Amino acid sequence: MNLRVRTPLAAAVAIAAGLLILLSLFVTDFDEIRGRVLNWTILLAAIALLLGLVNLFTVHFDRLRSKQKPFYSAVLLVAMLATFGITIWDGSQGLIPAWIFTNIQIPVETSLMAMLAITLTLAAARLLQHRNDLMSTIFAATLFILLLGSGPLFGIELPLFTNTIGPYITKILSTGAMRGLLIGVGLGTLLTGLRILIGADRPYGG
Amino acid sequence: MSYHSAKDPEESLPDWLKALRKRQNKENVEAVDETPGTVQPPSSSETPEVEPEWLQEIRGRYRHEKGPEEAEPAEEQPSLGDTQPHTVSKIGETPEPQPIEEEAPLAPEEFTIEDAGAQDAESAAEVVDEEIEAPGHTPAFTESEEAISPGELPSWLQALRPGGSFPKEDTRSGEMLPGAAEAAGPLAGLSDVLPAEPDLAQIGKPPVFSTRLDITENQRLHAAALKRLIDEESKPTEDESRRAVGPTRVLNLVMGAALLLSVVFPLLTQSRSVVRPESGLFPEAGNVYDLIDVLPAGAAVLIAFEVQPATFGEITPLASAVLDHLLDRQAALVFISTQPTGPGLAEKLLQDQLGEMPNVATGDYVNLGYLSGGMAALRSFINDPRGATLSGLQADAWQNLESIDQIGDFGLVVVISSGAEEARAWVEQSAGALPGGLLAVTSQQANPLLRAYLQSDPLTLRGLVSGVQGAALYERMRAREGLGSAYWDAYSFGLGAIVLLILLGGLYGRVISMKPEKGKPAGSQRAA
Amino acid sequence: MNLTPEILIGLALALLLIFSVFGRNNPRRALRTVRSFRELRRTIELSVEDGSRLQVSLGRGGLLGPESAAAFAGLTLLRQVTEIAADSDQPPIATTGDGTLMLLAQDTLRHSYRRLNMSDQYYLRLGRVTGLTPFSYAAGTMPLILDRSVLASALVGSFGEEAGLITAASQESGAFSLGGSHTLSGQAVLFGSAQAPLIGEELYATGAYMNAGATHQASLRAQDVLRWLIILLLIITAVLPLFGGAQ
Repeated sequence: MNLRVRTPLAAAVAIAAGLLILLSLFVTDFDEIRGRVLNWTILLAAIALLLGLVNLFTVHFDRLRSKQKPFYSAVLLVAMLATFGITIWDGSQGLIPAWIFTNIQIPVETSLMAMLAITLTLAAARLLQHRNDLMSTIFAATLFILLLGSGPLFGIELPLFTNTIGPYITKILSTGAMRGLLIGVGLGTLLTGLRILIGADRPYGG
Repeated sequence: MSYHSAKDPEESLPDWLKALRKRQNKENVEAVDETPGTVQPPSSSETPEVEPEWLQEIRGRYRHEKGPEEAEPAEEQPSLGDTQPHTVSKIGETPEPQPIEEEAPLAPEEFTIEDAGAQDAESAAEVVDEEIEAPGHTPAFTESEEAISPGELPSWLQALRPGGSFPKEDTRSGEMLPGAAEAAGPLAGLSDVLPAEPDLAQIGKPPVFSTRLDITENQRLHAAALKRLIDEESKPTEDESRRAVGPTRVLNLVMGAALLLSVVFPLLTQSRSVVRPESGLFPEAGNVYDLIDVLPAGAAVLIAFEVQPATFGEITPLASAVLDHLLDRQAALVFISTQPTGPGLAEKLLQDQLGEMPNVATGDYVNLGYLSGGMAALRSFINDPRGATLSGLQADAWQNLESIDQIGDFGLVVVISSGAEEARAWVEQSAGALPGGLLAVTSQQANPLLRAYLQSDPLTLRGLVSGVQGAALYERMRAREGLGSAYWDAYSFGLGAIVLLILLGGLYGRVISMKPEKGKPAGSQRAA
Repeated sequence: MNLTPEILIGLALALLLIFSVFGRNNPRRALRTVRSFRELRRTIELSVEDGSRLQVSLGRGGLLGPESAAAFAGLTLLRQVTEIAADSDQPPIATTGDGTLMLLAQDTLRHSYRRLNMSDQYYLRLGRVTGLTPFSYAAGTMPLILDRSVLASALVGSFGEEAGLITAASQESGAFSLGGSHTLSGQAVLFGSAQAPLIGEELYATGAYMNAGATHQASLRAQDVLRWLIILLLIITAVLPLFGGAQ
């Protein structure tokens, strides 16, 4: 289909669907239609998940074919195909898929989390070296105080931080700050949604 | 201010400069005269008698071959003479006579001061420079019309020339481009022709116009500031960060090793020396304990298991402690997750940590599995739990939950979550459907972010317990030893190591940034 | 005054339309300087000059929740970056952790190339999924950045703590990193690890600062007005009981 024809059509569908969902929040008669549209969306999201997997496969298949770091791509492709095949055959609750999940995916992702702990420690140590401004100084100081108040360090408790300053920051200062941030995020989300609803912003390529 | 002026710049020259220029012109003439082997160009002040012998010989031969009538300047072709000063003469090349049949003869008049000076590149360049600096100045040698002997064209070429027999060519373009019409040569009379060759082969530097501006000191300062800004913009910024790659890798290794040692050591020694946290400091954790503790036996409890594999290690002690408490109260557990990995992790947790509990051992719990569709699906489930999950294997599960039609029918809703966002989604979406609120069991990172909901009105979050600290606390409240207690010492040592590393790393960074770089003054260092 | 969702939505829509129509050509409405966007623009120009790659991470947020707004901000950035740097030696690349977002990223890239009359240079792999769980997404994105051809990595979308791994990769490869997320944990991590973090609603100002159009600027102004309105309401709500108690 021609782009000139497709774009207004896509915009019209997007605007209609958005308005319908928005109206259903206020008009109870639209509940059933809303449920049906949401079900379609969920179905489309599931199909998109599969397309994402296909994309991942083709990207690494191309890398393998063009011999760009082919070893890693080969490992990924073999693992993906094997897991997919076994899960189709044995079911997601089967013995082998569970073994793969428990002994490969969980340790790998947990290791990445451990790596993140090291990375963030390093980032905190170098924060003021990279960005020496007021906000970064406040951020670093707050981080340090909260760490001191998070529990005993090497078994030594610091009551001033664990019982007084730490809880004060966590319960009062950071809660207030977070509400402020959440209000900002909420407003941004609302206006982004409205922009799309009136067709002014078209992330679907228009 | 304009760079151009209609006034002849020569006229506006001061007297001393005019005198200097006159003297210079005179010196140039003398220099040309003294140059051996060069052709003497005619001058208004000089007569043609000063021609060298070899030139006179060429001239004689030329006249002899063409006849006296043709050797005379052709009056009907005055434009031809104008082309002569533009005839190419390359540096160091002595013009040689050419046969008249093939080409226009090279009369002595063809050689101008540029040509003559071109025998010596340096002197020619000087002359051109002089002319360029004063565009309107009078040339040192002026050629009188009488002294010029125009070249002659063969008859066939003359016949081709757009002379009087041709209509005037393109008068419009002549108006538009005054002076652009070719005045000489075979293309005389035509406009918009390509420039004659001598222009292209002109020897010397390109024209340089004076760019000295008459500006005030203030304007100069502004210009300097602007230039500095532009220079800074064009400097690449990535060099500094690229330099830091090596030390980053080393620091990563050192920090990783230090953290690993600090955590592994207490685990290996099974240390239990660190005092566990007090419940008085965490009333929200006490709420979780109190609400579970009064739960009637057999009550259905919905567990939203929103756990990622990456945080499974951290969540396990806490989730084990809370689920153990629920199973002790003989609750009927119903699991669901909006994360693809959630159901699998829930199964693993139950089998690995709570496999000995009767309900788990007999499989007396319900796992509704993965609820795909994110927030939309969650909202759909909260509005109609049975309708949203009544498909496939989940249909069988619901046979054991006949009493549940809506989410409020559950005795408790507990969200076990890796991050704040998943827990937040449950809290916000269930706010209307669960008047009493729900309980959250989360990773430590989510704790500060969810606190806001503990104080909300109407109440949306009734209790919150987080992290390894929460696990140790919960086990203390239940007077039991579990994974929370086993990890508590390692947690304490790891925390201490992180504080120490950040402190030392910060100080190291400060020292490094204060150390002057090679070849740079200390003052130019970026403050850090 | 009770600010119900209906009133808030209506007010936001009205402000958006008003600013879109009347504030379009008002030169006085200059945006305040946000260092992160200034640095990003500069880095985009540098990357075009030296032919290096720009990588836009759109995160793992789908389109079925509030994270979709963050993803749309990322798509806007992707469109603007592509239109500047599409003819670079190494065109911009977009990574996502979600299937629907991948489709949108590919669509955005395709249309940008078409607008530039460079459709023949577009290929599907410029928008790709690198992993479908947060950490697998980060792990899949890291090698793309560690490949030294990337000059800048912009993380605009839905990220959690896994963003720390991506910014660490940027730091190791010497690439510039800009980061903004709608999650608070993601913002906290990015503030400490990214060179140019976007805090709070700055993420949603991406379109306005990257010259994505007048509506984005109108949206930002409406957002500002609403924020001040909420601040005012909060103050009034806090102060009123004091006066009521004194009477």
